[in-house]
Amino acid sequence: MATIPHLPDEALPADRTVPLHVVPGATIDLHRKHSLAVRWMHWINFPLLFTMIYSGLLIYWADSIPASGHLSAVYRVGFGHWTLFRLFPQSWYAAVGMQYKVPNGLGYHFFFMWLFALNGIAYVAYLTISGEWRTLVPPLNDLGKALRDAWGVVLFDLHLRKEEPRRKKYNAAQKFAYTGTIVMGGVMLVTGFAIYKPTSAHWLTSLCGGYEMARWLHFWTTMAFLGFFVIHVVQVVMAGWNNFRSMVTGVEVQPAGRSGVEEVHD
Amino acid sequence: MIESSQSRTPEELDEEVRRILHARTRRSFLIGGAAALAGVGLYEVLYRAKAVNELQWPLREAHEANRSLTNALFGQRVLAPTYKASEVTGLRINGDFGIDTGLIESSWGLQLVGLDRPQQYRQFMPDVDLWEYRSKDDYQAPTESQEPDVKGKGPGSSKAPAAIPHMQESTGVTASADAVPGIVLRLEDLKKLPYTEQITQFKCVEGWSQIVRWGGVRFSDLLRAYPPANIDGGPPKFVTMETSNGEYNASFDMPSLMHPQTLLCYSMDGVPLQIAHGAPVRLAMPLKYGYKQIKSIASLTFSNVRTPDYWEKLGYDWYAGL
Repeated sequence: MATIPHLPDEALPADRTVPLHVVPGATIDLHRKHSLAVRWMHWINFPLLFTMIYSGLLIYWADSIPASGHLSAVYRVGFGHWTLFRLFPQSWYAAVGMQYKVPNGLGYHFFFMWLFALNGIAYVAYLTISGEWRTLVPPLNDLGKALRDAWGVVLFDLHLRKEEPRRKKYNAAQKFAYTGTIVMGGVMLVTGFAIYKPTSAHWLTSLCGGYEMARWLHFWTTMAFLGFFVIHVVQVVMAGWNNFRSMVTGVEVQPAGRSGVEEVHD
Repeated sequence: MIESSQSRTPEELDEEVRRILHARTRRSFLIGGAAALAGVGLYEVLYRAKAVNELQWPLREAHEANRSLTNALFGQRVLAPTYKASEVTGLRINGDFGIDTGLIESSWGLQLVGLDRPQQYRQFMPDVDLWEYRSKDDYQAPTESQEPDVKGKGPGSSKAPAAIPHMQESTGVTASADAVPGIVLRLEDLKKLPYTEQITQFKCVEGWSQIVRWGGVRFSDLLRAYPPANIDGGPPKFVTMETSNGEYNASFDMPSLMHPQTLLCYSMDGVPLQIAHGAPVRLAMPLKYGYKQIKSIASLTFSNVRTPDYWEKLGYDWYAGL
């Protein structure tokens, strides 16, 4: 058995997977796909983001009680004075089994915000230093093509187009989605701070378009996170066990002989 | 090595790859599972942590750490943005905790406890606790009080008392051991101090905000006129404020109160404050959430002890700084 020398996890080159174990004559190879750091930060982010959203919801609840006679102007879908619906109906909180505890929401939110921020900052720092950001960020020099490619992926995934889009480690749509989560995380931190310290850091609140606009952005970016989460989970289920396992083990099984450098269809 | 692999079928070689994969998968899932359990464990520890004033102590500590950090970062002198008169939205009435809606304003006085040589002022009282706040709700005829509810029943129930003998009660009384010496200021006394108006954004912890035109006395101006006594060789560190019925209190560190936009407010939109907004005097401070902007203030005590206040005891952050 010929084994490629064990690569340290941090040595993952950009925009490709690396053959990890190659057994000559075998029809399958093991490829290193996700670095150890990315796997840890990905899974740590999951409960942190969940806690931030849940505690945030406890805080929002106080501004969406019809009995108060003052309905939130922020958490609604509508146009001008016309409102289609408001978030969230009291029945929804009851269905999720939440208890009305605003101080607990505030307590958890202002505790876990630090962990969420630190994990996100560590992630961005890691991507920058390791060069892995090249795998993730859409090619900025040809954004038009990147967007067309991403649109092609969407059409393919919706079974509206037969031709499978070309990809390296991530396809064009994945690049936009994953880079999008980083941008969204940044928006959450900035708007969150603008809401948290609107007097002390009033310049930041003004930059966000004022206190109410910061709240609007904070809320709808959370909704975007939830949208990402739903699509992400569906895609992971569709992609199958080999792909999911790689987010835990770091390795993926691929047909033999692939260097991982070239664009692939599978 | 090559010979040995040539002697085996591709299926056997694939099996070799899978063996490596499975060993790695087992190891990774074991580590991942242990990490997940550790995470759940930490969460449980946090959830079950001993509560300090209704909030788990690590979360309480986080509030305190956030206060220290943000105060170190921004200080406590940043001015809140002010707005134009055309932007005023007015303030919604959102809770009557501690407000005696029947308070007779002429019986109102602001007790100041902990002043430097309070005897020097003509408003001195050997025991400010003897000051009596009268309420319309208290003036019910004995026959009426037998009935279930007489509030607002007719003109009789809102009849004001003929005389308010508050001062008489203090005269001639020898100060007992638990007497609280201080001064009691009337609204006229506050109105003699410099008047300040500001239009700032009021923010409720519930999330909503409104732009309000406040008028009153800067806390710092009050302090200049009635300076507090030193405690343990230095200026007092905290102030506790309480409503006339004692049902609501709020406490503050001195820098929060000395902020130039912290007002003892007695007018809103250029007219005297409504009772529901905390007449005769309430606090307006854009540096904090509404739940610290105590309405219907009756007493103000300088101290070096931080008193847990109304909302803190219900699990909210004490500092509530914005």
